[in-house]
Amino acid sequence: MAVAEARGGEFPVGMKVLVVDDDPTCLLVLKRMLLDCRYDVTTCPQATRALTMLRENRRGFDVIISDVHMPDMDGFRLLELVGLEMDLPVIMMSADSRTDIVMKGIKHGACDYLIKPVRMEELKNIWQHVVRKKFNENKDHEHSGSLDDTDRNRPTNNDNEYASSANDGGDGSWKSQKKKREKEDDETDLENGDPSSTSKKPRVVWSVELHQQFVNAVNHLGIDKAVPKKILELMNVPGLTRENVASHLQKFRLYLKRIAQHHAGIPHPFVAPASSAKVAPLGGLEFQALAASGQIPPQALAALQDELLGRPTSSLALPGRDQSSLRLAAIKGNKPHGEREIAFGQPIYKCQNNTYGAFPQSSPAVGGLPSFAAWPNNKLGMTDSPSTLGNVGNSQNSNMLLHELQQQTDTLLSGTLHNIDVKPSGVVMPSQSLNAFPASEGISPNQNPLIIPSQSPSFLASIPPSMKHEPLLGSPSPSTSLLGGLDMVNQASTSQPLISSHGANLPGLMNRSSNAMPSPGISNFQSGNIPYVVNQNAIGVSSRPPGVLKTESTDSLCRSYGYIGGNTSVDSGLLSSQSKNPQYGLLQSQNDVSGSWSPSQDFDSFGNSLGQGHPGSTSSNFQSSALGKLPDQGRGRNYGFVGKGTCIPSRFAVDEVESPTNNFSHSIGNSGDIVNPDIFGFSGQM
Amino acid sequence: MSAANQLAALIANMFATGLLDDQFQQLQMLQDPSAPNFVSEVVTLFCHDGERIIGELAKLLDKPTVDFDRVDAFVHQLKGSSASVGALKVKNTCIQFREFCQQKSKDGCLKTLETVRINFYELRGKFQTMLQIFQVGGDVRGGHPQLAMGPVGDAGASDPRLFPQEVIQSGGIDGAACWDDAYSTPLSEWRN
Repeated sequence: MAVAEARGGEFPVGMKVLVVDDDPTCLLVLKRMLLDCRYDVTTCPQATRALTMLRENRRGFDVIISDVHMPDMDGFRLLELVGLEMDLPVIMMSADSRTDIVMKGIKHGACDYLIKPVRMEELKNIWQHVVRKKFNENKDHEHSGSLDDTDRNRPTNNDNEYASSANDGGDGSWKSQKKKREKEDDETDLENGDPSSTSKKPRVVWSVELHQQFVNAVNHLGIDKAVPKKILELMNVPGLTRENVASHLQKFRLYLKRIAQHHAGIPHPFVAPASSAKVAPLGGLEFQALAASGQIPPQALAALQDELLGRPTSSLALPGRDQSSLRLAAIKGNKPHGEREIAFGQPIYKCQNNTYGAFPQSSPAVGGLPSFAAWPNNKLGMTDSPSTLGNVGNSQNSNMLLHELQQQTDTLLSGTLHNIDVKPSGVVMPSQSLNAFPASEGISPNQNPLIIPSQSPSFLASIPPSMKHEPLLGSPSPSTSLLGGLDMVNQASTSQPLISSHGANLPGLMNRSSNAMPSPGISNFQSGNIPYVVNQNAIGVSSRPPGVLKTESTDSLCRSYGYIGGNTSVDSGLLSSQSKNPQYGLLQSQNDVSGSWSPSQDFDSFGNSLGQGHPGSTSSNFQSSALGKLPDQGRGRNYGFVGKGTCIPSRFAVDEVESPTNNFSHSIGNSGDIVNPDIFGFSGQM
Repeated sequence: MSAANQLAALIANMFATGLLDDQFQQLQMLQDPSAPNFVSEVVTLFCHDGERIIGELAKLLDKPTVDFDRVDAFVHQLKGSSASVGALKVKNTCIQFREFCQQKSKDGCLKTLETVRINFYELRGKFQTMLQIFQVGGDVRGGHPQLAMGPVGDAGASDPRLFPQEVIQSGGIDGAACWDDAYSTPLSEWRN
């Protein structure tokens, strides 16, 4: 496919797909088919390795296709972890077409379930899942802050429900809601703009610290009494909305539930390293919270303990967070065992080498994080099955880790505490979405949730690079996929645009610094026409100096982010260049993020043009609103990737767009408190 | 007979006897200039993998106490591979096999394993012939009436009617004689 063509706006082109299947034949066939769909394909025969890859590069992928039956890890488990940690759409696949298995897949959060042999037609449509997810997330975020009720009905359960409803209930309802959402024509919404949401808030990235705070709050309140509102108050994180907390709480509960189920049932072969912000924290936190509050479901606890004890290897891996939390708990005397604590269902990091590159990075980067290296996380992906990883070693490692964790925990805690005030909430970038398709360049980099626009130093300063850095509270959870080491790392560095990480895998990284790239994935699509996605990033984009953006799509993305707040001038440059992006964000022109940018994108100095974007601009999606069109480097990139510099995932931008370019940048970046992820969103093309 | 013809005939035969199904056709269509050996690769991979799985199954079923879960896992994998390749008969046998696994019937499993083995080797034999023809220049896309269209390999000759001419032009082929109405495309591979 010609690049031009790709740029031209075929949205799904270049979408980054990760295929996980132990069957080499199927892997080869699927790869070929996906390549024929013009996606960017990465195959991986091992689930554990795939998890590692994902953790290292969250933004590197837009969608995952995974087999159900795999020797080293259950496909459902992988699905859960990915959903929790990276929140990427996962499509299950199997030769098994039994309804109950398919149901199980859906319940575990699969976006779709394909029956082998998979046909081309089915693969051609997988981009919808990515878009839908991003779109919904953005919507959620948008509403989370401003409209508590309106949007909430769908995506997240009401806070109250969390408190009272059992996990199952919540789970089911959530899932059904989620599914419903998926099924509904999101596209329509996108096109209509976002009627209810006022501003798209960038997704909150639940960094380790943040998660730790969350867990602490939950512990303090008691898992049963933990309502989003109170948790929010306890956490006291600026920019975090009740919605954010609510949805996170929901996930947490689900996670706990799963842990309980797992432990009660079969021990999970893999304990995904908690690192991923979501997963890990849950695991570890779970216990902690549970332990702390004494509410640990006996079953779960026992199960966990058994698991932990029984499986030396896996359990140790405590997801960084867990460990720290565990430690705390342990310290508090809740859990005598280090192992126990660690073991939470979460991914156990095998102490063994840090597979996660991110991890070590993060620690240093993160201000506080103590060398997690000690922390097993490495295995993050690996821990899963004891068998697979050198579990044996783990036990040792885990011990070590425990020690370290403790130390770290203490350190971290203190460290993190300071840091925690992070803006994370605001900053949180759509991280996931950014992974989106590598529009041609693979820019997606901006995925970093925290899109801290490297450019604007102020931002960086203000927003701790994705909160993630912040020393994970005690828990080294390196794996935190969420931030995945990558985030951390990047974030710390943020100041520089990620750079086109292309590599497709990098995407996540790249953006980190530069901008909060718009929501994951979608932004990357090149879509020229992607209505929604694109703009997300754009929002922030305005700041990008034209020069910068243009250069490479990927780079530009980075840059664009940086700009967010900062330079209005850039915007103009960018915007003007973009001018093409017609309406939606960028889709049209290369960079244009087109995603949802509102039609008139005309940007004037970037901020302004978007104007229509803002309100008009697709605001619905994030995309256009802000940037209208991130002038992508001209490449068709716009997809919205973040990387491209053009648009920032609408998530962020959307709201910001309102104000004339300056505003955007301001709103986004300038404000310093990144609270609005939107700003960051633009990673892509603007 | 020209390689293309042979190939076409072979593949047609495999379809006709139920060894292959539509999925194989999909694979044929996936082969294009950017992946000129796709079908060969997939077929080779399937043959190796299938053999390995059958070996594992034999070992597992040979034990005094059979671990049916593991057997089921392998059968499931073979089922997935065969489905992905379009190996219809093998796939169907796997389905039967799984039922015996569910019932934990060792005899049933052993018997079905034999059937799977026979079917698999039958298919593998034909695949090996196919691979040989490929090397000689046969077009993988041949053999299926529905695949008449479309450029094959480097040929890019989308119009079957042109094929004979092209073939002749390439000079390496029997010429129109190779062409059978039923198989309009394949020859493009000849040029390879």
